[in-house]
Amino acid sequence: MIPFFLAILGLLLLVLLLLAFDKWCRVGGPLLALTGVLVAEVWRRRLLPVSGVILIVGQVFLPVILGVSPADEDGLRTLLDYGQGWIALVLLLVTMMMSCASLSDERESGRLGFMSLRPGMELRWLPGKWAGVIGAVLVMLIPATTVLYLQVSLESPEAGNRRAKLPITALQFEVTEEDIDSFLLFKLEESPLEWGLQSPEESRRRAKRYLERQARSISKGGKSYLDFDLPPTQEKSVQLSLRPAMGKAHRSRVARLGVKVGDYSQEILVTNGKRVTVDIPLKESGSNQVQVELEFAGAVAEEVNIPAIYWIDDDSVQLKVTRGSFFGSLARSQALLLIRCAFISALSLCVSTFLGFPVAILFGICFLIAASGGGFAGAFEDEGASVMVDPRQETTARYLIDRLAAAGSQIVSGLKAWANSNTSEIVSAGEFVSWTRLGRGLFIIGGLWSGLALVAGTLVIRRTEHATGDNR
Amino acid sequence: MSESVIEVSGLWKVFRDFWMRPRVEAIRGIDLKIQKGEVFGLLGPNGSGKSTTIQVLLGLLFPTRGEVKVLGGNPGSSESKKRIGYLPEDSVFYPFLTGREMLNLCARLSQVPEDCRKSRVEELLRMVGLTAAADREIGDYSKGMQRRIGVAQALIHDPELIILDEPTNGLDPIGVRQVKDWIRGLQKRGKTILITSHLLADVEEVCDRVSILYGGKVQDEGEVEDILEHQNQSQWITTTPKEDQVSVIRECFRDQGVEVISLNGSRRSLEEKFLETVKMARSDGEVTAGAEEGGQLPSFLGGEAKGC
Ligand SMILES: Nc1ncnc2c1ncn2[C@@H]1O[C@H](COP(=O)(O)OP(=O)(O)OP(=O)(O)O)[C@@H](O)[C@H]1O
Ligand SMILES: [Mg+2]
Repeated sequence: MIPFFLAILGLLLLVLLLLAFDKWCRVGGPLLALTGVLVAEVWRRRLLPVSGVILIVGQVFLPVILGVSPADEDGLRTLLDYGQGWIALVLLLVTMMMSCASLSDERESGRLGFMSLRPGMELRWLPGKWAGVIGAVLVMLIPATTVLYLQVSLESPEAGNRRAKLPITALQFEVTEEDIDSFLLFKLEESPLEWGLQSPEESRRRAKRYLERQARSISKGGKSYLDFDLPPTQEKSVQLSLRPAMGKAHRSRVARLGVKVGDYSQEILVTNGKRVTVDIPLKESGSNQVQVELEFAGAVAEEVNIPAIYWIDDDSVQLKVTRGSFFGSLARSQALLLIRCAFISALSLCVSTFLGFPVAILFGICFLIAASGGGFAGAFEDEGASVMVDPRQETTARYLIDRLAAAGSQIVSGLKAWANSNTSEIVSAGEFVSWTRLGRGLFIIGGLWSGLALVAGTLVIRRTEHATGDNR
Repeated sequence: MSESVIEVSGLWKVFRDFWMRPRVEAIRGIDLKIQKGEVFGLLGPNGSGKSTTIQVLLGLLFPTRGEVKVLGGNPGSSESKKRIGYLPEDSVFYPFLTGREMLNLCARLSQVPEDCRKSRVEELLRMVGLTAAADREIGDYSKGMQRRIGVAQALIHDPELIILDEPTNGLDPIGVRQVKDWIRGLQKRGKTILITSHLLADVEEVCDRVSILYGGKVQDEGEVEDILEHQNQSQWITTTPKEDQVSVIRECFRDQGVEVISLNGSRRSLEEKFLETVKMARSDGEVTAGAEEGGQLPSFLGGEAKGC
């Protein structure tokens, strides 16, 4: 009964929003007139209604298809994960279709030339259509997100009301230049023979590696102190979330770990690679710094030897503070999706000023694949590995290749901004999506990248001939 | 009649392929001068470069060589776009918009003031006889109906220069008649009109001057009156004479030194029959899904009655 009701609600909302958007396009200047044409196009050519139904109905039946219920924690996470993924998948594809189909069709039918005969049109094509696509995406995004939210909150009201958590990483995991300076100062005094004979860069690099390893591991019987900067909070407790790695030890090996924060202390059992969370009461001391003392007491079983445990990723040790509502995070995350769609639209519009529909679509898909790969790009970054250049090799060719490589890595690191704006996993983990992240996405992807694509496309339109004959 | 609206000298247009190799020399040195208030016809067989010339004038194609001035400016400048109305050769309108929406869109894009927009659209729909079909999608229109919408959109912003690429193509005889009347009417209101057509009879009737193109060059140009010099022949239409009267009449002519070249019985023309049948059907209140009887030019177009 509930899915049926949700589907009707979602579709109704979609139609209402579309009508409102269409009405808005009917008043106003030439730019909005063009936007209105795009809306009419995607509606009357059935692209929007069909994909809207697929989106909403698919979303409504997702719990049935996945066989999960949002009532339990795991089910909730799965539903959120797949729900947001489904919405993103459909919307990104539809965005690409709408943008490419519309402009390619204008061009190939000769309408681009014909309509450009109205004054000022060359500058309006891309922005007008872009606004239309963004509007159409919003018209689909709002109902789909509403359905997802209702699915979660109707089934388990406490899940709907739950608060999002902001994960905080230990200060020591971020080795700063100052840390390195003071470490080197100390080491040079302690063992000048060992540290004083290397080149300054070499010793800095070594110091950094050393400090990182030190912060991220505890040997058996040893202790480690991790500091966290908490944002101001009213909450009485924070959550400590741990996921240790135990070297070559078997996956099921269990070890003992002592946790101490202020007066509070407890011994917990941790398993290799599994996440555990501990609630830690906060004292109303007013200080925002929390120091966590971790003591590694070794394996539980006598015959097993686990020499050390490691915190491999930044999220291996985190303090989680309650921050904002779940709904707020979901909304910001979906806004980031809208921003990504906006860029995909700008890119598609830009390439379809000179490519036909199938090729333009292919281009967009290639971008999506490359960009989602951009998230892994960080794995290959190795700051210490700048190559020594032999002056004899400083030829022009070498210079060119270096420039090319630099540009390539610039692009790849740019694509990381894309991966950073994909926050659906953060939301389904119940974590907090910050306004800063939204702002950064809006500025880089929605502003800079999209703007560039629109400007490039407009230049192409202005510089090319568009005869009005069919298929010329 | 001295201000020239279009000035073209030594225009060349070479179409190139992807690798910039020349493929077609569509126009090879055309000179044109069209005066204000004139109806000018561009004639020529298929592929002689008429549409290409027009698209260069509109700034849709860039000239390979030569000088082009339209309304005193460069082709394709924002200023000239406001003052030109264009009916393309192929109907390239949004197939998913209705006729009324299409006209509205064109009016908005041309920044026709909002209070005039509605009345202009309705007047033009009435003029082209599409009021009843105005809320159907253009994709569902017949070819001639699309032409009619095309004519309407070319006039919506009350342009000074009207360029019609084969305006009568696909129109029924009534439509052709009306287009000719509209062209004459527009000329009276001070518009300059450039048309292309294969239907020489139409051109002959409405144009002041024509250019005949072939192979991308102007082969002949001049006033219609001058080009069509009178041959030493004339045609009389009489009631049909009887067998024996014919020989008497021939005799008579011979005595006067006039030679009878041919003599044939006249039939009613198909056009007359067609017009009569359609007129009867209309007066019987027959319903059509197509175009209806069109009307006069709306008053907003140039002339005395300025405003909306
Ligand atoms: N975009 C183009 N690319 C290549 N060749 C073209 C292009 N447009 C026109 N041509 C060629 O230019 C020549 C002139 O074409 P144009 O359309 O001007 O002829 P036209 O006089 O309008 O003919 P029609 O009476 O059939 O409309 C033709 O040979 C045509 O093939
Ligand atoms: Mg032509």
